Amino acid sequence: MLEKLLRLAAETGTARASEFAQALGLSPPLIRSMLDMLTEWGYLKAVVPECSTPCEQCPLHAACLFRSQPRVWALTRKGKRFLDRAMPLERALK
Amino acid sequence: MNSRSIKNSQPRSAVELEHADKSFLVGLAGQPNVGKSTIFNLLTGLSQHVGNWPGKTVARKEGLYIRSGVSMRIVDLPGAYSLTANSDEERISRDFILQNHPDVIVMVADASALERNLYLLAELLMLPVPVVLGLNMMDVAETQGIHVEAHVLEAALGLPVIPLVAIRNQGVAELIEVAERLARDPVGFQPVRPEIGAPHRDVLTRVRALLDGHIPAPYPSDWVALKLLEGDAEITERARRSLPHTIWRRIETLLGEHEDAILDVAGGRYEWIDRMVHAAVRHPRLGQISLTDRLDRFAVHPFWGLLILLGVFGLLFWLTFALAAPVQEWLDVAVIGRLQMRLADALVLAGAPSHVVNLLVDGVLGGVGIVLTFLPILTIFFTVLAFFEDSGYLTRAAYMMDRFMHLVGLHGKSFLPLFLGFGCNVPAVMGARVIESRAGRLLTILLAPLVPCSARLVVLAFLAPVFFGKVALPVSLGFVALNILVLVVVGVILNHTLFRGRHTAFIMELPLYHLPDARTIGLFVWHNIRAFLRKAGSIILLMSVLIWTLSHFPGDGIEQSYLARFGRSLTPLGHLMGMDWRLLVALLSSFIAKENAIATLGILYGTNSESEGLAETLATQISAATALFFLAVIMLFVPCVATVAVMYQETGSWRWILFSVILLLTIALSAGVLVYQGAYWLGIGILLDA
Repeated sequence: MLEKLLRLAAETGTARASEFAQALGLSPPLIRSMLDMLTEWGYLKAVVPECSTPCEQCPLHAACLFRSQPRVWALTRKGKRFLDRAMPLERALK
Repeated sequence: MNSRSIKNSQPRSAVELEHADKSFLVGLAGQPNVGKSTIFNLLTGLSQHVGNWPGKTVARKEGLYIRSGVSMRIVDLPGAYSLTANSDEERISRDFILQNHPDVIVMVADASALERNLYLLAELLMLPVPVVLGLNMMDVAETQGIHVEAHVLEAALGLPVIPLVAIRNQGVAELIEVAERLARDPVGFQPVRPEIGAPHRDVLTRVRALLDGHIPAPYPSDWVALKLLEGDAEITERARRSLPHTIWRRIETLLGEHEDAILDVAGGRYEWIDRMVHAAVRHPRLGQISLTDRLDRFAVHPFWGLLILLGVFGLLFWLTFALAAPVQEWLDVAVIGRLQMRLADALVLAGAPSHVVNLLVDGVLGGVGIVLTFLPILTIFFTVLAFFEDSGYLTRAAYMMDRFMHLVGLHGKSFLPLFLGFGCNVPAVMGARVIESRAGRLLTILLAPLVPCSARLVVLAFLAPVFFGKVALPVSLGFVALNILVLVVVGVILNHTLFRGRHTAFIMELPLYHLPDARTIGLFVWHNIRAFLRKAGSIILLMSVLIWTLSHFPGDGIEQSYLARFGRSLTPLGHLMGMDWRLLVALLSSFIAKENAIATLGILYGTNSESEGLAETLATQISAATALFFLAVIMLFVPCVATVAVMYQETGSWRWILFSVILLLTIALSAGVLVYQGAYWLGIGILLDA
C-alpha cells in the first residue's frame, strides 16, 4: 500500500493527495497519515516546511502570498532508491 | 450514547482504598489532543498525583477511580502517534505497557480523525494487553458530517468500542465499566490484528524463529521481530546486545537484505485501518470537503484550471482598472495637480528662492506625489490578491503553475518562490532557499525577476489606460503573459544548457476553500501599503530629488540639463525604439525602484495646466507604439536594486548578477524593439496617435 503510494508519487508527476486517494481507493485522511509516516521514515521530505517564524515577525510577511500554504512533499533519495529496487507501477497496482 | 455521567471530585481516603476488594492498573493512551486529559480528570477528580517519568522531563499523571469496591489506578500516558520509539512520549508509553503490565489499556481516539488515530491502536494490539477504544469527539465528527458506527467498528475490531463526548461527560462511565470488565476477564480478548504485507511475511516468520527462546522478559518475541523489521533503533540495539552472536549475525543479514520491510509492516497496518474505516465510517457527501473537491474539479483541471487562472488575473486587472484607475486619475489631476499650483503660489508669496519652489513643486510633488496616487491601484490589487489567497485559491494557482512548469521541463520546486514574485521579487529570490541543489536555486534566482511584481504591475496599471483606453485590459494581460512566456523560454533554455535540472514530482495537500476573512485581508493590504509608503518616503523621494536636480542644473532649461546630456548619449538606442531621452532616463531610474519610472516621467514631462494630469500630458506626447515598447521593457527590465542586492546575497557571486543583468537587458531591449517595430508595422502607433 505504501509502496503503491510512493510509486504513484514518482510516476504521476506533481499531484494532489486527494488524487492519490482516488487512485488507490483510500480516504484522503488515510493518505495524509501515510504521507506523514513516509516522511518520518525518510522516504518523503516536506518541501515547504511549516514556517518557524510567526507571520508578524517574518521579514517577508508583507509580500507573502502563502499564509494558507499547501503542504508539499517530494521523494527523497531513500524513496527513489527503494523504487529503483521495487516493482513497476502496473504490478504494484495489481 | 450512554448518558450516565461520572461523579468523582473527592480525594479517595485510605479507608476506601483498604475496603476495595479488587484493584486494577489502567493505562490511558491516545494521540495528543484527543481529550485524554478530560477523561483522566473526570475519572480521578482530586485524587491525582503529578510527577515526572523516571529520567524524563515528561509529566506523569496518575490518579484513582474507585467504584463498587473496585479500585482502578489510572496512569495518563503521554500523547503519542505511534509506538516507534521516535520520541520520549512513544518510548514511555510502550515501556509502561511492557514493564508495568497494566490490566487494561483505555485508548482514546478522535472520532473525527479516525484514520490517523487507528495507527496507534494497530501498534497497541501487538502488545500483550487488552484494549478498550473510547471514540471521543463524536459530536465534532457529526458536525463535520462524519458518521462513525461504533457497534460496527466494535465488530470489525473485535474489541469494545465506546462512543464518547468527554467534554460533556457522556459515555465516560460506560467506558470505565467496560474497561473494568475487560480487566477482570481478559481471556476472551481476541481482537482482529493487522498483518504484515505479504512480501515480508516469510521474513517475519524467519526472524521470529531465530528469536525464539532468546528474548528476555518482558518482551514478546512476535513484537520484537516486528520492531526489528521496522528498524526500531532501541529494540535493535537491545537485541544486538542480548542475542547470541551467531543468531544476531543471521538476523542482521536478513534485516540488511530487507531494509524496506517497514513499508510492508506499516502497509499492513494501513490496510487494516482502511478495512475498519470502510466498515464503520461514512464520510460526508455534502459540505465543505465535497465543496472543495467539486470546486477543484475545475480549479485544477488541465484546461479549465488554466482558463480560471487567466480569468483570475483578468479579474484582478479589470477591478484595478474599473475601480482604482478613475480614483488615481482624480488624485493626479485634482489633488496633486492643484496641490502643486497652491504650493508654488504659497512658496512664491513667502519669498522662497525659485530653486526651492521648483524642487518642492516639480521634484518632490511631481515625483513622489504622482507615485502616491498609486495608492488606490495598490489597495485594489492587494485586496483582490489577498481575497484569493485567503479563500485558498492561490495555492491552486501555484499547483497549476507547477504542472505547467513540469510540462516545459522546468524545476518543479521553483514554483512557490516564483509565485511569491507577484507580490515582490525580493521574497521570490529569498524563497529559492527551499531548493537544495545549487543549480536549481540559481535557476530560480535568475528567473525570479521575470515574474511581474506588484511595483511593475502598478506602472502597467497606470500607463496602459493612458495609451490604450478601452483595450487597456487585454494589453495589460498580454504583458503579463509576455513575462510568463519569456520566463518559460529562458527557463527551458537555461535548464537544458547551463543547469540540466532533474524533474521533481510533488505531492500536494491543498487547503480547503473557505470564506476569506476581512481582517486578514485588511492586514495583508495594510502591510503592503505601509511598505510602499516607506519606499515612497525614502528611496523614491531621494531619487525624485536627484532626477530633479540633474534635470534642473546647470540651468537654461531641461533640454540643456546634465540629465538631458546623459540621456542624449543614449539617443542611437532610443531612435531604434522611438523613445526620446526622457523615456530612456525614466527607464534607467526604474532600476532604483520600479515606481521611479512614473516619478521620473512626472518630473521630466511635468503637467501643463491645473486641469491636466500626468496621464493626459503623456498621452499627447508619446505615441502608442512607443508606449508599448516602454511597457515591454519596464516589464522585462533588470530588477530593482533591492532585488539585485538580495540576488547577490543569495548567490554570493557578482558573476551571476552580471550574467542576469546582461541577460535581462538583452531580453528587455530585444522584446521592446520587436514590440515597437511590430506595433508600428501594424499601424497601431499611427492609429492611436491620430
